[in-house]
Amino acid sequence: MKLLLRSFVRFFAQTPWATLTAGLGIALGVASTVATHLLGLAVSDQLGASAAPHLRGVTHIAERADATMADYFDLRHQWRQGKLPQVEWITPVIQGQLVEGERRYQVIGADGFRLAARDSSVSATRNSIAADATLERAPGAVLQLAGERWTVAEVVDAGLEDALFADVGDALALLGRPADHLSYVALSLKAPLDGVRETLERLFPGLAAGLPADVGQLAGWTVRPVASVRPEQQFGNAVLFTRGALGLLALVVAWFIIYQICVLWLRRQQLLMTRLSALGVSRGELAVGFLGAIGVLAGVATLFGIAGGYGLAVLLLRLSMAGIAAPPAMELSAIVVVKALFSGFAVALVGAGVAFTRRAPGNLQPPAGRMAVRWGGVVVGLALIAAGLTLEETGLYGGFLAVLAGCLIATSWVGPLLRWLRDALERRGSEGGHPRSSATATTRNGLLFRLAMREATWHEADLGVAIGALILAVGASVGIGLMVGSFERDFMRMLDQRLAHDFFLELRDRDGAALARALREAHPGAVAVPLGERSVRLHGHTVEIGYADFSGAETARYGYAPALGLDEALASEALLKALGLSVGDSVVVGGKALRVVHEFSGFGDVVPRLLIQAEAAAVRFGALHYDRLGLSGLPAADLERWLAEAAPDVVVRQRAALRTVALDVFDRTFAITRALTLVALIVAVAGLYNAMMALRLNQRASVALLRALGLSVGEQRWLALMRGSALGLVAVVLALPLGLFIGAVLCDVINPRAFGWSVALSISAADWALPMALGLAAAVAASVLPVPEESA
Amino acid sequence: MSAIRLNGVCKGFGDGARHRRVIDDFSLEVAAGESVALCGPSGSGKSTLLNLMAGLVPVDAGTLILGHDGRSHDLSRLGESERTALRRRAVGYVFQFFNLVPTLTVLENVALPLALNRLGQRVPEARQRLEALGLGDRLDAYPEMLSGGEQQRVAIARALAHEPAIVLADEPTGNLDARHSEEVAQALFAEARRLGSALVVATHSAAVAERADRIVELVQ
Repeated sequence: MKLLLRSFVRFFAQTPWATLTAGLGIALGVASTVATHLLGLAVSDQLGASAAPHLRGVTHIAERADATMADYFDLRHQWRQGKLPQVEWITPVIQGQLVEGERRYQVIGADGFRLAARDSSVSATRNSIAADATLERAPGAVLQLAGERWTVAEVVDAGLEDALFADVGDALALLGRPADHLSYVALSLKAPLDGVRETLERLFPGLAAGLPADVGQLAGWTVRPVASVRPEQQFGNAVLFTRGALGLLALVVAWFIIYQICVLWLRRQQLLMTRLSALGVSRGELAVGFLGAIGVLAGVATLFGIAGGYGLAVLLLRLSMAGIAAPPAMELSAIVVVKALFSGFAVALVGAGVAFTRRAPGNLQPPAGRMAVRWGGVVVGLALIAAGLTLEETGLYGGFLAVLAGCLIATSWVGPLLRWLRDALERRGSEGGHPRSSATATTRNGLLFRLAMREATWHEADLGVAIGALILAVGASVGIGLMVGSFERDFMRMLDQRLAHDFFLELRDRDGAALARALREAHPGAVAVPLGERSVRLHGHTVEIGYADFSGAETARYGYAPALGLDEALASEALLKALGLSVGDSVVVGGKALRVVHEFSGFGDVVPRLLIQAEAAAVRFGALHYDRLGLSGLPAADLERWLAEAAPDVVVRQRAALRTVALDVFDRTFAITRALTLVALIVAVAGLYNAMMALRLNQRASVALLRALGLSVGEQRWLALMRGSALGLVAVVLALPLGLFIGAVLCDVINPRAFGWSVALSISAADWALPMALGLAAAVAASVLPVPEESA
Repeated sequence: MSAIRLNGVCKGFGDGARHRRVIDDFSLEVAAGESVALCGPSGSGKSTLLNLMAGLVPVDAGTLILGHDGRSHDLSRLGESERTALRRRAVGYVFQFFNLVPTLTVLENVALPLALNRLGQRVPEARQRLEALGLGDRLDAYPEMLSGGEQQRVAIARALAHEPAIVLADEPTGNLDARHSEEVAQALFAEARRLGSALVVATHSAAVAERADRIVELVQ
């Protein structure tokens, strides 16, 4: 057996280019997996670090209309009696808004022991609070709130703007609420597969975002996943999940490549294997030898892949965070290494195993009845696509399953398409019922063209899977390109609307309304619109209510022409989706109904938003606080001069600068996506080159014959060019509809499910032409590039 | 004017210590319409000589002149592209194995040198030659569908389709049985004679060599 293994390993060494390409495919697939995992962990750690203290370990929240502390104690009593076995622990939460002077605060009250950091005793001290880092207060700072002095005992980075955390009693006092007031109950519910879910989450960061949320049950209470109050966590996980899915693309392409290369290797080893069989070596022993050698290759390639993946992750993280923050340190944990090894070995051994089963000596012809299997696969694939796209409950998994099924359907038709082309070319040669010989091309170019087309379409077994991989990579590249391009156009359209004001002023502790009045008095031509927002809970969801003087000019920033009425509202797409509403429906805020008159895009909004007239907000919330000011009709120099005297602490942001920053963030967001797609494309190109190289090595005799007939070097290159172009055309012809499908699913299914917004798919040549041209060029290059001499 | 003239031709392969001279100071002249059989043991340089005459490999020393269109072409002074162009016009080649392009039909294989020489109008004549060689019902067949003898007859038809001044055949009957060898040799010599082409055949077969006007014995 050792000799057999040695024989196969030596064969790989004698075919260095094929081995190198196979190794490169595995290494890049592993690198992509490692990079997405490390990036996922880095982002996940950041999200985890900013978890609000009152929600640490919380899986669900429970609420009911007019809930009181008595209801909570009743629930706790049931739990303590063992009547709620699914509940691990429960705690009441108080949440509200406090406006103190010119500043508003979000006050959150929970069990003091839950709020406290592990090494602090904040909760035990009366009138001590924890402040979110956004408040910029140091520990020990004293705040005068609700007529009392409160000491900031610690600062937490919860990512909740202007949040103060206090014990339940303190929170009630701060908010001036009655002692039995309750906002909701935070719970930790046991899920039957919690352990599995946690393990999977460690293996695939962000996976939870794709899983359907556990629906908890408590009699008399409405139970929702914690994401409804921490949408940013869900948002972050969705980003991780989509990137993780994209990271798998290179691995899938690598699998195709390994399979193709193994088929070619087996073809070249066919004589040797037949001889060994004749000597009495069993099929099983041959398989062990062959797979063992592939395993050695996979091991080496995986090590390179791990190193490459780490480098890629560092590079991408630097790229996406440059100028924003220092990228977090990443370390290769045992899980990453195990996952990489598993990916590398699984991809290589499964690819090689399937190739061996189908193409090893004694089974060199493709299994019969493939068409029936293919059609069956198409039916199953279409059913999966239909289910994934239409069943909302399938979440992100449904969306990606539909993409996967679409990819498999597209790639499974490479062989039939090549055969159809071959038959069509043959039919074309025998048009009108005459024998083909009567239609023989007699011109040099005609005959060489026919020769090139046949060489392209006759080698399905040698090239089919490599072309499939190229289709997959180009299709994904086209789809992602279309989505990113469409998103960018929608995003810029939104920016153009939103950034209608020349300047946006961040007011800090100032009263926006007063500042606007002063500005208008000093500069009568200036248009100053105070903008404010506050966080409320609607039907269990945290929602941001934006308020301003929504005149026609202001509503135009959201794509709606008329001024808003007092009982009207503009709703973000995410809000309508979360609450199951449509334009024309009503939503109750502060006990009064508002009719949704328009839906606007909220790209980048983590929280669902509802916009109402300032007057309508005042009726519901009392005194309003404005923290921003939109300003137009005033030269920058005049504004700066005025602000220097009237409000020097106000931060001014210019429209152009905001636009640049927004587009920069957009580009950074998709830099990782583009890089991962490129990795998959490189794997596919390397694979196709390998397949073409093997084919050309097998055709050396044919080439020598053509040379003996007087075919010049230029004509041979032209032949190769035509052959490569034909293969490239087959690939891009199948990749284009696949890309359109992927683009449409990403825009209309995955984006809404992951982030709550949909993107209008617009098909611009700039988005699909480049990946298509790259795919075509790759096929041509693979066909034209020199073939290194290999002894095997 | 001779169709082929070799004068003091040398050819070797490999570098340094591994260099091996296969052809050493070899001279030969073949007239138009003459047939010559190259005989000798394996490794004596028969195939190398044919490849030199076809311009597939350059000579190391000596002169090798082909007569075509009333002019003499010194292959030792021509570059790769010029040798290729001359080979295309003036030479027809028949190999022992792998004679036909597998992705072209019988008729297309024969039409290939015509198309390369922009002589597409002669395809009907080529079809007639194939019919005369007993391949009239195999015109649309691909090489894999033919027997060895049929494949060699197609190769002969292709080598002569563009009426070259020189026909080179490397063991044309090497993998055929006696009956098919006889058929193929007969077709090759008859067709070359009909066209007045110089024919050089490398062969181990005494029966084939005897058909030639002259036999040249190579020694190792």
